[in-house]
Amino acid sequence: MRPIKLMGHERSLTQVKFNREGDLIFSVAKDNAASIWYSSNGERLGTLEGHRGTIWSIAVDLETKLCATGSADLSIKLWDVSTGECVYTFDMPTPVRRVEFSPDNKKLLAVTDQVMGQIGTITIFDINYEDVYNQNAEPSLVITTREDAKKVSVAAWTANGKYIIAGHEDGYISKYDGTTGAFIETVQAHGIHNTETNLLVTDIQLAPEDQSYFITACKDKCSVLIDVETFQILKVYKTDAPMNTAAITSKKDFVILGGGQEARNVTTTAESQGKFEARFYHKIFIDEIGRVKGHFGPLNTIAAHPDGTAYASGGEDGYIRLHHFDKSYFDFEYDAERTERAIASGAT
Amino acid sequence: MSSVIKSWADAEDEIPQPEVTTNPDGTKTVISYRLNTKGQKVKITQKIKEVKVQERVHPSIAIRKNWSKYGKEKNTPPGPDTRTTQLGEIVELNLGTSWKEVEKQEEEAQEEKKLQNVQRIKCRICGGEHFTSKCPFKDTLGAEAAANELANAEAAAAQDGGDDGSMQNGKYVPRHMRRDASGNLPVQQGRDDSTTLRVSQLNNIVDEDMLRNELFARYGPLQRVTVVRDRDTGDSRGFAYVAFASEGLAEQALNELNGKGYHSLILHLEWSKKKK
Amino acid sequence: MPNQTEEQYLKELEKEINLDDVDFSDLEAKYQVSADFGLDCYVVVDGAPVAPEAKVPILTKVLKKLFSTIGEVVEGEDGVYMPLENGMSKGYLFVQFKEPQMAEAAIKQLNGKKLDQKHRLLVNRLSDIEKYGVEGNIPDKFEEPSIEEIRDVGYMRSWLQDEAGRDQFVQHFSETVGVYWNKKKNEPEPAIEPRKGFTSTYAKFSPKGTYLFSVHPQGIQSWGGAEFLSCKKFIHQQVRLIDFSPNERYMVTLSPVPIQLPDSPQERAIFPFGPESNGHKLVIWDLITGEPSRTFALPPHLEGQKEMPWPLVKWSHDDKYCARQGPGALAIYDTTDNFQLLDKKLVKVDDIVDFEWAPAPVFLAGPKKDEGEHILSYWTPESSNQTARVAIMQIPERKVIRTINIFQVSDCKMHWQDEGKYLCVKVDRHTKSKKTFFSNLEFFKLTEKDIPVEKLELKDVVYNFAWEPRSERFITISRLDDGSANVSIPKNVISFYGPELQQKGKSSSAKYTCLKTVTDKHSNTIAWAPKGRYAVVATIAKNNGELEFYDTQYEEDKTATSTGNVNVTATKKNDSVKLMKQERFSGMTSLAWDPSGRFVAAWSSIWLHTMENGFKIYEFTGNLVRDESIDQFKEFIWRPRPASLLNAADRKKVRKNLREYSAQFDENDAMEADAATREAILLRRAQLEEWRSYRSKYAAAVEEKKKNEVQAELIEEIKEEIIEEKEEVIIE
Repeated sequence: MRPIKLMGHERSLTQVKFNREGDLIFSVAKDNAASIWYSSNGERLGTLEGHRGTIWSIAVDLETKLCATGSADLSIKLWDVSTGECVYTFDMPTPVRRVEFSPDNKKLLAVTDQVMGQIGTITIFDINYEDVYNQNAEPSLVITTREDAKKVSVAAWTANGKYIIAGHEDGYISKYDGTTGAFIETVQAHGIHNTETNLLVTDIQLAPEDQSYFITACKDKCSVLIDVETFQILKVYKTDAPMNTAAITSKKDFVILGGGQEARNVTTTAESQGKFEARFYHKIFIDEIGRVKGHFGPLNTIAAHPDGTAYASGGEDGYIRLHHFDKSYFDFEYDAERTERAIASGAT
Repeated sequence: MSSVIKSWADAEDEIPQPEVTTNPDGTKTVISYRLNTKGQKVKITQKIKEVKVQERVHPSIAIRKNWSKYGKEKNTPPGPDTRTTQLGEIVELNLGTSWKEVEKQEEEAQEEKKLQNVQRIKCRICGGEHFTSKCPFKDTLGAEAAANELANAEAAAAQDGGDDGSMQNGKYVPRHMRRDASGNLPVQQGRDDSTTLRVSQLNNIVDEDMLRNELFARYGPLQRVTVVRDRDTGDSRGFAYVAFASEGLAEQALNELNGKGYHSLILHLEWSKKKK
Repeated sequence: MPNQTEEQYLKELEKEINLDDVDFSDLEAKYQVSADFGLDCYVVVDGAPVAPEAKVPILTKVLKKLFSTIGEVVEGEDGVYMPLENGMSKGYLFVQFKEPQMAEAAIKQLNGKKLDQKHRLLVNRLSDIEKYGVEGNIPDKFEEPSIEEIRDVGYMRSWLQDEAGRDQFVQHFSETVGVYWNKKKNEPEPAIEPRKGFTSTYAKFSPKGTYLFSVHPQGIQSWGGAEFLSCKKFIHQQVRLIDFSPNERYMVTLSPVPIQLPDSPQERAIFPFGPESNGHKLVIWDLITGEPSRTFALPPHLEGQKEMPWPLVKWSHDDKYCARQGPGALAIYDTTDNFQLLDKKLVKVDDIVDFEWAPAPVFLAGPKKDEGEHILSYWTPESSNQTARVAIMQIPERKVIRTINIFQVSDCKMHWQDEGKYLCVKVDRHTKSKKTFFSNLEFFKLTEKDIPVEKLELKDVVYNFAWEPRSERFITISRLDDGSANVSIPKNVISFYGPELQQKGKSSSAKYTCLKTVTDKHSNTIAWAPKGRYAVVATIAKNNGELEFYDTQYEEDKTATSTGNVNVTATKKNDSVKLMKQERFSGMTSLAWDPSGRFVAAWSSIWLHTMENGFKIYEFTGNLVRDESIDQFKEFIWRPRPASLLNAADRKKVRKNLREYSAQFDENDAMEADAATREAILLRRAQLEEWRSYRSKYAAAVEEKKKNEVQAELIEEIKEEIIEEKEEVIIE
């Protein structure tokens, strides 16, 4: 596997994402510009210039028409993906940690930080998709952090915008009604598998096939798979380092986790350079089945290609590494999977 | 190329930036460097061809392929730009429950293979595998041979800019004095250090965040803050480089903070590059 | 008087409640009536000598003096009253103190006090005599005391009955301690459910593996049996260090906190120590009864010492004697005689620095005996008019049977061979200028006539020395002391020594010769396999861990197996030492052989650093069989085994049938491995099925999504392709 190094950022990456077809990669970092890349060859389509602070998150709608960025400069910007033009800016009271379009492109959720005396929220804006320059600056819904819960660090929509899933800094995951914002249930997903004390949920990504389950990443060195409807924990993946990101792959039943000890806690000898690894786990058997080296710092964000043919990782080192999988990757099978396939092919 | 390697303070003397040359036949030659596991520098020369590929894709992708570039990429020609996009070294993903062992074995095999490609030391007098100064024939073959060799070497250096440049005439030449691929002595370009201060006598507990958010918060936003650390232990070595947005801010910080106490130690600030 | 009613009331109560269980101290304090009589100032002393009338005044004087050390005794006959009968004292007396507190203190400190060899004083408060002496206070009828039920913890050596002969080990990580079976390549199988918060500091096995000990602020707890149930509690506040006699009959504990008798009589009743132990810090326990056998104060020169030499008590091979070293003397105790000082006196040895017991009975040359001797060795340094000296002493005779004089000595280390046949004294000597150091090895051959001493003079300083078990060979790690202290240059030398090839008819005493040397190493640790032949020489250093597995009979094995004579001590060829494998483990902090000599465990403990915490298990040949990285890994402890019960004939039989046994074991291994794989496959199938059934309810939605997919279209794009690549190392 020969990765393509994307070196358009000057600071640590904060998020990378593929669009629905997987031909474009959207990346943001602690510098002030987002980058958009062609995934097939790593060519940069362009940059989105205009923020004045760290961009924490980027989202792209299903049609790859609009893209939203949430920044520490107290704003969310909407961009025209085809031209790179900023079409609208929402002013926010606190830094924005996450943005995500609802699956029908009609709404945008934003996780606002709990700082400067403000309570953290999940704020939802209605998006005027027809006349993009004309947006309602007022949110259509604000879900403030419940009194009995800790601050929300990440959030995501489920299929058809039915629910909003939120990850808290104490390892709990909550489910809200996507239309009314009503709280439905919460589950302790982290802090129960080991004795770690930092339980910040760092990432939530939904299953690519139908968004009916999702994976979390957490500083407690674990990732868990949770069903959206039942809110049951399906699988737990245990690692040996704090995790910053987790993605579910399609085509193969794998999950990819990324993280690592903070650079300043690691002894950096020549030998350990470039040894920060993306970890591959089997989604169903929860075994760790491989690692990909290459980064010079912890992995902050991982995105899997919607077709399951590639993945991109963004590191604290400021690089994005884009990997297109080899044949051997697709060939790998567990004995049980092979048997299953044999039975299936025999039956049909 | 603008990229952040782990620490810009020591990046300079570790890995040089990649050099790209366009060959007459339309291919490109990329010379890059990396450190191998033994800490030796490895020079990687890649010859790259751009190929056109046809693919069957979703119609919306086809449309997007024809978009014109914008932002920092405005006006750059089609195709990947080596400044931002490079092919990396091949990485292995050996899937399986025993991936740990497999990986270890392959790593060993690879290092071994690489070692075989290593250029051996060559004596300029007799051609043996030892340094010229240690040559057993030094006295017998004498200075004449050495002088000849020297002249040849010089000529060669003048011709092709001195191979890898590090051992010109057998003497060590600091990197910034070496000729580049086209034979020119490099002009000091690189980073503009005029807004950078060197902060020393720092307490070991002070890290980048503390400098950014506490000590120099008033003079922000800062371009770069780097605490110089011990390569093996990661401990602070007690000094840091701080690049300010402007020279004025840097000067202000220098005047106001030099000699002030911070975490039990008296700070010493100075320009990282002496003013001319 | 309320007395009558109260008594009745108490009697009523007594029927219902077991008085021993009830804490009456508050009531007693409230209804304290005896104070009115002033009885609290009196104590009754039993166990005093029965003396003729003439001697009573002097006896009274002695006793008064003794009791006056506690508090002021009332003057005159009221102070000490010793009743007489038929011109003899009655063996008891009354002592009146000025204050009740003094009486209380006397009871606490002098009860059980030995007046002399024959008389032990029993000191009680007079009010107790009143209380229990009055008729009716003590029931006449004998009531069976309830004996605490013996808790059956199961067979203490159950782990030795494992069919596959596997070894157990302890994994201590985070706050958890678990006991596991070694399953080679497979995941270790927990022998018991791992226990969280098992110990407050460390866990330890007794030397033969019978008990597992946990350390707590209140003392030590022993665990045993197949389920590791609680056996005994050894109350010793803030205990730090523990050690055992070689046959695990006794345990030695040390606490920085002196033993202090509790104030309340109730607590004192269950307190394991008597008044004679007050202020002591070192305790010897009987592991079977769980009671203290003897307590000691810390020798004054060790008080306040930051680093404690340990063990402070050293044992003879059979637990019969133990010895402590004091300034200028050895104190040897006979455990079979109530831990009394041997012959009731110290063994005076001026300036003694260190001593060691022979680890096995020593069969000295001379008339053949059934049992070997108890032998110990010690050394004394140079003083103004005397050379340094190493001496061998026979116990209990206290006879010095051999000494050697040595000079220019900076240090000595005594290494006994495990069978007690040889003693190697590593003598570190300095040149006259005292600038550089070098070592001599002095070998005492205990079993030969007059104990000849062979000297091996070396140019290097020897840092490590290790005898091969049951053999006359040894390994040293040494380094030439050339004055430069740069430790980063590897210049340690590993040397393998053995007795020189023996020729027929020559004297039995062979010289030691070097069989092999390995130079320019960082190695600093030697670990022989418990049954000899194989050894691991390791480097345990920050960022630099390495294990080298040596076979010291490599050539022999090839030539000698046909004769079946494997137990050769003399080497036949000098190239018999072979490096089998070299392994790196950079975080390693410790290593240990399993008791059978089949595996070596190496681990990285968070007690020393946080790099690569976890453990690895290697085969004796150096093959890595298991590699586990465990967060907050603390310690790996193999469970020791007692000595084998097989005699020489049994062993020979096993050796003869080795081929059959090994085939059987191979099959077992394969079955084990298969079972594990089979299990894993079954588990995965179940997981897969579970997942598919979970996904099936969403199948419709996925189908729907697929329908919406659009037809693809042909495009063209530019990609980069590497057509040539070369790498070269730049040498600067």
